Amino acid sequence: MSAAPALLLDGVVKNFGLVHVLRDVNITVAAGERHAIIGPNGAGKSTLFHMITGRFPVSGGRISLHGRDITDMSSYDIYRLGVARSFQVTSLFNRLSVFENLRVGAMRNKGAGHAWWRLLDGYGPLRERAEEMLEMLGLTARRNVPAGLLAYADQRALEIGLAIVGGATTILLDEPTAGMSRHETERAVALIRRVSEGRTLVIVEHDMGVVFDLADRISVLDNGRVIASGTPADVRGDPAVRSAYLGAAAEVLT
Amino acid sequence: MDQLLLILLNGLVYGLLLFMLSSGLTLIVGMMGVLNFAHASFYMLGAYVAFSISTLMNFWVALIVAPLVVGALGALVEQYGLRAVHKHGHLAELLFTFGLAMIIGEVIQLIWGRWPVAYRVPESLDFPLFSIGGTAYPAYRMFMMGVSLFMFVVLYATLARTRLGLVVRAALTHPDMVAMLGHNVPRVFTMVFAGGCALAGLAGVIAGNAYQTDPGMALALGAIVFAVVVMGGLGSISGALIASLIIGLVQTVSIGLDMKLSTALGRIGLHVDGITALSDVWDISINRAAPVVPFLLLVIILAINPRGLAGSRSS
Repeated sequence: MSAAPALLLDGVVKNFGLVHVLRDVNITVAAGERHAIIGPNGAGKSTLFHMITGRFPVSGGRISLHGRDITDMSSYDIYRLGVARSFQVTSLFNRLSVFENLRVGAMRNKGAGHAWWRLLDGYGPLRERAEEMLEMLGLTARRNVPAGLLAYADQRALEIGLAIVGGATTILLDEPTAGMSRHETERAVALIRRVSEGRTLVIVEHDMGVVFDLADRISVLDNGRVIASGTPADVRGDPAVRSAYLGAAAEVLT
Repeated sequence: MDQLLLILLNGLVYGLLLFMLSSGLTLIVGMMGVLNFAHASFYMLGAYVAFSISTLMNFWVALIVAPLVVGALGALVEQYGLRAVHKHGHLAELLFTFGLAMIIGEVIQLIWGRWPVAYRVPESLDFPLFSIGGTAYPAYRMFMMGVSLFMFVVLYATLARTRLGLVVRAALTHPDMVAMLGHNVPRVFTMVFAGGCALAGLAGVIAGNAYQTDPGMALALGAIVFAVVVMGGLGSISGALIASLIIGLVQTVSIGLDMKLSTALGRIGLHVDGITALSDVWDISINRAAPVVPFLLLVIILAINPRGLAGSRSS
C-alpha cells in the first residue's frame, strides 16, 4: 500500500440542492508532497476541504487516504487516521487559553481521549506535547492568554499549531496567510514549511507568492473542476490556467 | 431583620435549585444549539420517579436512583430521538422537544394521575433545624442547599479539571472544530444531554417533596428556567449561576413582601398616590406580582445586553 497516494480524490461531486459546487474533482497528492489548490473565489476550494474531512457528505465520487476509502467516515474518524485541518474563518476556542486550545488538539493523539473523567493536569505527555507546540509556534509567553485576545497573526499561527499538535500526517490549511502583512506572511510561510516537514500538506491559498514559493505541485480549481494539475512550472505555462485565472499575475511571475 | 434573613435563606435555596436546572439546560443550548423545551419535564419526571421509589423503598435510594433513571432516559432521547431529528435543522429539533414535553406530561398523568401525589420530606429530615426570630427553619431546606452546593462543586470540577470538561468547553464555541480534532462530538453531546437531564432529575427529587409534585410543576418552573438561561447568556455556567441566584432571591423577596406597590415606592421616596389614573396599578400588592418578576428582569437585561449577563452566543 506504500505506493498509494496520501490523498486521492476520484471524481468528487458536491451539490447543494441544485447548485453544483464540485462537478468532477480528481486530485492526487503523493505522500510528503506540498500541494497547493488555487482558483478564483467560489471555485469550491473550501468545500473540497469539507468533503475531505467529512464535514459534509459528498454527493458522488470517492476519497481515499493512503489507499483507504474515507468517503463516508465521520470527521473524528478521519482525524484519527491522521488528517487535520485549519479553517478559513478563524475558528479557535476563543474563551480557552492558548495552552488549553493546544491541549484539546493533543488529547486524542496522546491517548487521553478515552478516559474522559481523568484529570487534565495529571497527564504528563499531554502537557509536554502542548508545551512543545507553544515553543514551536513562538507563543510560550502567551500561554495563558485567551485565544480570542491574541493578535491576528498569532491566532493564525495557533490554528496551524492546532492542526498539527495531534500528530496528523496530512495537514489541510485553508488560506493560512489571508489578511496578513508582508512580514507576517513571511513568518507564517516559514512556520508552514517547518511543520510540513515529513508530512503531506494540502494548502488553499490566494497569495501566489506563497503558492509558488511553497508548493511542489499545484492544482487549479475553476467552476467545480480541476483545469490543471502539475508542477509550478507546468501550471504557470498552462494556457488554460493563464486565460481562466492567473492572467496578469502569471506574467509577473514568469 | 430576622424576616429578611429568612427570606434570603429561602431565596438562596430556590436560586440554587434553579441553577441545577439551568446549568444543564445552558450547556445543552450552548453546545448543541437546541432550545430544549422538555428540560423541566425531566425535572418533573425526577420528582415522580423519586416519589415511587421512596414509596417502595426509601428516600435515600430515590436520591441516588431517580436521577440515574432520568439521566438514562435523557441519553436514550438524545441518541435515538434528537440525533435523528438533528439533520432536519433547529426548527425540527425545537418541535421535537416541544412534543416530548407534552408526551412526558401526559404519560405522567396516565401513570400517577392528575392530582398532586403525596411525596413527602423523609422523616429523618423533617424537623426544625434552628429558629430565626421565632420562626422554625426546616432542616430539609438546609439539606437541599447542601445537595445543590455539592452538585455545583462537582459540576465545576468536572468542567474545569477533567478532559471531558475541556472538550465540552471547547465545543461550546466550535463543536465542528472539536470533531475535526478527533473528538467524538456526538458522544459528548449524549453525555452532556444525559448529564443535564440527570441534574434536572435530581432537582426534582429534592424539590418535589419540599414544594409540590403535580403535573403542572414542569410548566411552572420551565418558563423561569428559560428566563434564567437566556438572562445568564446561552452556554455560560457562571452566567446561569448569577441569574439563578438573582431570580431566586428577587422572586422570594417579592413573594415575601405583602405590601402595595404605592407603599413600596413611598418607602423609597416616590409618592405616587396622587396619580389616580393608575390607582389600579398602585394597588397591586407586590407578592401577587411576584410571578412576573423573573420575566421583567429578563426583558430589562436583554434590553441592556442581548447576549445576557455572560453569553458567548447571541442566537
